[in-house]
Amino acid sequence: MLPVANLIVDLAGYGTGIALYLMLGLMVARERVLEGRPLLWRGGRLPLLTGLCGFVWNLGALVVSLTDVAGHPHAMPFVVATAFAALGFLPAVVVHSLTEGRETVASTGVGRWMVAVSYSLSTAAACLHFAAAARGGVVPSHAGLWLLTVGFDVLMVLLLVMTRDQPLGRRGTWVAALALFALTSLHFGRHSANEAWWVELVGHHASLPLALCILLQDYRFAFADLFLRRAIALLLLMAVALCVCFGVFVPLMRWQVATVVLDPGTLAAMVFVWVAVASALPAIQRASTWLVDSVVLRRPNCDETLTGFVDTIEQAETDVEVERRLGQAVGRPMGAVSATSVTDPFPDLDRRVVIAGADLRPRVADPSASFVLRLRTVEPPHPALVFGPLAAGRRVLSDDVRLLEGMSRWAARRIDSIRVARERLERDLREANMRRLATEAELRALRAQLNPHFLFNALTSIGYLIEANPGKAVDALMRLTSLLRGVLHRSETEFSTLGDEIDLARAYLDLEQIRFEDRLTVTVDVPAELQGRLIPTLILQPIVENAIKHGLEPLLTGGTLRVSAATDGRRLRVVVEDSGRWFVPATASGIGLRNVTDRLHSLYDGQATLAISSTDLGTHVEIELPEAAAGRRTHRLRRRVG
Amino acid sequence: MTEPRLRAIVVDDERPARLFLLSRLRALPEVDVVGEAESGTEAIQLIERERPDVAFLDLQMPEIDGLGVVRLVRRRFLPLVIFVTAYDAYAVKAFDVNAVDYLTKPVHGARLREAVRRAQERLERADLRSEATEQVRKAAGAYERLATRSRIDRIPVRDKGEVVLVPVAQIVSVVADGELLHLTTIRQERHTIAYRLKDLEARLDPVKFIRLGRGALANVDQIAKVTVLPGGMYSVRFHNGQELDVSRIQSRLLRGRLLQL
Repeated sequence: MLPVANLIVDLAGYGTGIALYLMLGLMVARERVLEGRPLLWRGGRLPLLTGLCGFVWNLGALVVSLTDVAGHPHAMPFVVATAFAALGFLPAVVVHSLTEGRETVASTGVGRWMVAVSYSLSTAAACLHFAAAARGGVVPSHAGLWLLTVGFDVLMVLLLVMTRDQPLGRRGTWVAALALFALTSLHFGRHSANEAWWVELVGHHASLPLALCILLQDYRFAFADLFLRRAIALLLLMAVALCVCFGVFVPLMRWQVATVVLDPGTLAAMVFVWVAVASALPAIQRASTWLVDSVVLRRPNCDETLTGFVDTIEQAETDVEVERRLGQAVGRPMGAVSATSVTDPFPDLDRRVVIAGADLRPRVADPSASFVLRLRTVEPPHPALVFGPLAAGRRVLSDDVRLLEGMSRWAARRIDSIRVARERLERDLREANMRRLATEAELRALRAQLNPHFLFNALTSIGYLIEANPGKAVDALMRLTSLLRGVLHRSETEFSTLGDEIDLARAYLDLEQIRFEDRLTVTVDVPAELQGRLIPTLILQPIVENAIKHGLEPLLTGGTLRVSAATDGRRLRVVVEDSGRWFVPATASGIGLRNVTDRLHSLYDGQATLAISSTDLGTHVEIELPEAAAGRRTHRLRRRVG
Repeated sequence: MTEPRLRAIVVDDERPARLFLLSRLRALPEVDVVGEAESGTEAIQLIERERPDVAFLDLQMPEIDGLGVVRLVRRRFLPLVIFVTAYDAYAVKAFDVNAVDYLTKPVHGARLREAVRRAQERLERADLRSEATEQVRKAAGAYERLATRSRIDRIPVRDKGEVVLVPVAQIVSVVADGELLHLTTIRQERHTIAYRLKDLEARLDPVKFIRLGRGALANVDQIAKVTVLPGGMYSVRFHNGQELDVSRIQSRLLRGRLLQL
């Protein structure tokens, strides 16, 4: 085979290698910048190390190949030594990636020990290369290459034993990669210029499978899917290009050299083939995407997963259930250990649904949390799911985000519709409850106004009067009649005149007077000009009744009660005083005046007050109403009546 | 008329109600009204003087109400009791449960005759009579527990022949003794009432009166000195010289109430 073919393979291979490793390095760096981590962050340094080693190796090898072609072999021994040293570290990184995050190996001290041994092997080999370069001996050092070959073969056997519980496919990947590398070392150990081109290809570019192998060990880096897709597309493209080169161009060139005529037809054919290769790029990219998604990552089909998920959550009847099912649906393919439901820790973010990396801190306290899936419901509370560590240290890959966003959106819609349904149900219940309460309140009000204790006592008094004084009995009966009629009539209106309210209270007081006789002395002092003022109905009567019941009735000797009203032009004051000491602040709500306070508050928007004070001389209850508001109410009331 | 007539009294602070019931009673030939009273105090004196067979007691009266009368009348003088009330759901419930007779105002003639007939029946048989007395006491207790009644300022007690109202502020301690309570005042007077400690406690100001143990209440204002006994228990000395031990559990509470600045 012509050395030209080897040169083409070398140049194409090293060029691809440089591009791939540079891309890897840049992606890792970009990920770190996006996540706000320092470039030399400890976690996930393996991809960076891989990129660095691979890049140095390919760059060094390219330089060496070029100097070889230029006719200066062995011109730069230290560049060669550096390149081979970098290459020698790749298998150590493979071993490291195998042990890191694997419970079976890493948990044992043996795992750590093996990593140490593999790095030592690589370091020793690197030292041998540099020593050879310094001595002016053959670089790369044969001893160093042999050391790597033998050392990693032994380690490989040990690793195979230790990882026997790993799935076969996994082990196959890295065993093949390491074996290939061992062959590479052997190849360099007895390197000659006249190797077959494919030997050259395998020998010089075994670093690429090593790098892919490292990345495949538990995708520790968010762009792993993207990188793999591009890398495979690039490799496929290179493979096609090389096939075309050796299948079409090399025979063509040989024929051209033989005829020494540059045929335009041949030229056209070559251009056509190149164009065909170039236009195959989209197809190659599709193929690589398919390869990465379904074969390498075994990622479930996005649309199918989403459809299945929508069916699942349609059956959920509560938001908690939706969140639980979302947690399961996400957790299963991603290998999340746990999902916790919380309120959205990122209320200030508007669009992002998946939050991972450094953005999690310090809003998410759990240090093992891998990512947060926000559920952007229409109305608060906005739930969110915090996912625990993913299986084997895996990260959320850039393509996962698309699926997660879709699922989260569907879940949020479902929660919205559940909430709407629940709200409607609650509203119906509330309305039914309110109707019930209103009925109850009406009944209670009626019963409170017709205080049974008072009523039966009044009837007893009338019974006595019928025998003792029939004339007075008829009077008392009339008083009771007007009191009952007044109360029943008033429960339909909100306001009536002060005069009417005083009359009602009087009817009540007259009946109590019959009962208590000289124990009760009543004075009413309301100026005639205030009789027409409007006051809320049934406000005065309960206050008077309270004064009797709690103030005067418990007194053996009885007492006095005075009702008066006055105005200063702005506020109307109605005062009920009695000589009892019934008001105890702690029980104010329990003495039947809560209702009065509530009604005053709602009718006058807090502009009316009810003040109660108690001294040794008696109790003083004062209602203060704004005159203007009463006037306005009058107007409204008249209109309603009219 | 061969049967002896039933000697009855009527107690009501409201004259119209009292007269109305009296006129109903006087219409019954088997009843002989031997007196009327317009307060609890009067009623007690009347009962002990006249020893009636049956007392119609109004439930709601100032200071000493119908239940107060039952509690304060000496046990051997207690007649059959028929309570009268205008409207009291708690009373009606307590009386129904304990099979105690009661009448509602305005008193219905037929129901009154029925109550009188039952009273006669009970008077004829000694066992029914003592049973009735017991039932009235039980009903009184049940009523106290059912109705959340207002705080009292003065506690009615017997002082020799009289009923005295002791202001609550003058009470130093209340010590339970079986079914009785012993009250000690600041002047070192001792009174005994038939009342449950728990019921009395409910009607006293909880800020002023604290428990010293299962069977004692103390007026906080009257505590002069607290002594620690061996074993972490306390002994309380009052201004009037009286001393009481505090139970272990209450000692802890007392420490929280009194001994922290």
